Amino acid sequence: MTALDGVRVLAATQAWSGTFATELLALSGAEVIQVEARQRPDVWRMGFDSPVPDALQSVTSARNAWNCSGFYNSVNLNKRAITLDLKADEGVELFRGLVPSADIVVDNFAPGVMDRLGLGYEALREIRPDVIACSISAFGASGPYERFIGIGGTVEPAAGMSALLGYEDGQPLNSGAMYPDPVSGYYGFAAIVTALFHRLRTGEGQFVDVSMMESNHTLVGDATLQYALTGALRPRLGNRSLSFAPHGIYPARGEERWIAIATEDESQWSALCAIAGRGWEDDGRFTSNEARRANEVALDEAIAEWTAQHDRDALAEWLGGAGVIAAPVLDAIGVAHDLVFAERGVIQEVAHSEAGPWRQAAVPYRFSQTPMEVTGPSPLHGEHSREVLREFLGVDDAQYADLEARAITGMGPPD
Amino acid sequence: MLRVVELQSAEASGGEVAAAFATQFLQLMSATVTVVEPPSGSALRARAATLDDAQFEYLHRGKRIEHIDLGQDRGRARLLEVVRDADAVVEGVGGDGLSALGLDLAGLRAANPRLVITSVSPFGSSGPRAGWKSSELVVQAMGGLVAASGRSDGPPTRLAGSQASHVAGVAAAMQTLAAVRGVHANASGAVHLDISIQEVVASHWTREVGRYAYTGQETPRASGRLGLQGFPHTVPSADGWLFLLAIGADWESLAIFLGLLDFVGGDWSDVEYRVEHWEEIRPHFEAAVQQRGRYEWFADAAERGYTFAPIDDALSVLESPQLRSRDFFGRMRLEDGRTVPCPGLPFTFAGRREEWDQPSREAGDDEDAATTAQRGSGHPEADRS
Repeated sequence: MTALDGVRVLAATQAWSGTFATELLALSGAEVIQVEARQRPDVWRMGFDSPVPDALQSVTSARNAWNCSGFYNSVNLNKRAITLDLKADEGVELFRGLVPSADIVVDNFAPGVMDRLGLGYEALREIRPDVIACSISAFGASGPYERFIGIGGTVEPAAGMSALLGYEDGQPLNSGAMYPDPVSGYYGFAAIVTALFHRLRTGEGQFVDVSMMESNHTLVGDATLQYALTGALRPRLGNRSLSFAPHGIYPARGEERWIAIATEDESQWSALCAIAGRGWEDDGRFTSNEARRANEVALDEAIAEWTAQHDRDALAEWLGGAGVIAAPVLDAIGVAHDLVFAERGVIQEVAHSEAGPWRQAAVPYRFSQTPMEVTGPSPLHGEHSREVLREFLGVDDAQYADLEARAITGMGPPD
Repeated sequence: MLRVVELQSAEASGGEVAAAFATQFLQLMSATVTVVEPPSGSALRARAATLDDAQFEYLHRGKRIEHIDLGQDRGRARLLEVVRDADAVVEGVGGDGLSALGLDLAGLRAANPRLVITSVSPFGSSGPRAGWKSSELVVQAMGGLVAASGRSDGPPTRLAGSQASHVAGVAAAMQTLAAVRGVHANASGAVHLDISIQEVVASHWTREVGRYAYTGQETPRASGRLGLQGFPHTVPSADGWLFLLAIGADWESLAIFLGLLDFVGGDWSDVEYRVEHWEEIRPHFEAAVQQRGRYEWFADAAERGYTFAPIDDALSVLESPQLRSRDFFGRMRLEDGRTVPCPGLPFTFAGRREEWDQPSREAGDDEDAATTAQRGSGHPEADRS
């Protein structure tokens, strides 16, 4: 039994925010049917013309690049995938035919696209009165920016996050790797579950409008409240803290090896001094937190000179064991190979029918009674078109062959 | 209406902000939230006494706060009484925090067999890191976020504020909601959720782990000089910083849009040539961007399908016409009766926003006596409606 057993989702989502939200639904036990175009696959499949990735060249089953994208295959676990040409009336009708079986319809198109396709909330509600329709867009489905297109990278500065990231004497920065997309996916999931709750109590469906800009602003909303309360804009601090020193990311031995170190009280500082053995405890510039904050440049230089001589992981272990706040700065390689992640099921090997078995981020939560489980890999392009159309619409083999020939549905690029 | 109990302790565990953010989110979703903290106050309250950064107020809007001494039988009995009527308990008191408070899962479940219990901690409640000392810096560093942020000519850079804890709070809230929904729909009985902040942050890296696994490529930090498209993406405009990540745009059309006609065609079409000769373009590029304000660029770029964005600070965000139009900011009522804008839920249901204006309030003899932990003298933003 899982928390969302019996819930069915039609997902007209692509790239990240929407696919991540619907993957979370699928991992929670909902049955998710992902809908893509036959002619133009999810952008994260990298198109029909891309080469098979280098690391998969020796995998004999890796025949089609669009089924072997690390991006797509990382966020569509547990889903079934169909293709429908939503630019053709027949494709739209098939989509509409699936709606009576769907509790939820999710999209992350620009606002207005689903309406123009005849698949907006009002149209869906006529088919199924208690349907929940959720739309995730860059700036939301109303307001002066409603029609502006956006991506995680442009939502981040507009949401007030980039202005806080970077160094006091430098320019604002974006975080790495389009971080705002999955944040919006989390909020999309939460909004959908809340709407499900409402329907459980009242029988009512509704339209849920999720704004990526608003979603991401909540993560730094305390800075906005601080401004509203005090008139003070929070500065960019780099890796420093307003309260404690040291508080930074320092180089370790080797290329691109970094360690995070912070002390939040004098006992931690004493432990750091004892391990470093550099006499910092007797240096008048560093004898109190106030003094260390006043001499933070010199402090950071001294620590960096020391950490650069040590192995990152061994030093983190040593400091952590002594009660100092310390951690290796893990990159994607470090995350993929982290033994604790593997033990707790965060990183799992998932076998994909074309790409083969690969380690990937899977389930970040543990539930005592209703475990989230990986039940299937990310689907091939249109992999389940035939079975879904047969199961829900009674499309027989001859009808399917006709639809396939006319590229209304099918697998892979049209002939 | 959902009833939620938030457990906080006097000791900082690394999970306290995430737990408070989770229940804050549930409170905005109309849940009734009771914060149980020791008579001496929680670690969050102690932090608030030393910093003037509004985090405490942000995390406690609309919550009811009850001070209970769990070291005494009477206190534990009172907690079980509160829990008996609750749908969920969210706790951020650390790996062995529950037992340190004299509580355990079995005892809470005995009081309420349908209870969802959500534990949020830096590394989860099992595994070799369960007892590690942690902080926001540590979970960002070990979750993969820090390594790819910052400039390639400097150290990796952490994200501002408590973003890892806040993201984990959202995750804790949504999974709590899903679990309570499962209980209400009779799909399951009581559930314990074990949420690790580090793991939630790492799950953002689905894409990057996938990229690495399939291609061997690591996610680079932003170039110190030129961006992905062969020009700087962060540039000063006439009235502040502008972000120019024009996804899908070719140089020619973008250069024409920016008025850089001397750099269109010929060798300039070759990205490597442009990068090599960027110093020739740079002054013209910067001068062109500085001719207009960031919102003018944003709007005109959007007309052409380019993904530019203004880089907004807290003041600009408060004044954003988009957010105002959508009533994103609710009003938080202060102790003195004034109100200040504060972010609400990032989505609307059937076009409606939730309505709230309550500060936190302490439980006591007079349950209606609303008090607030709000500090600060206020700003002109106060009372603006």
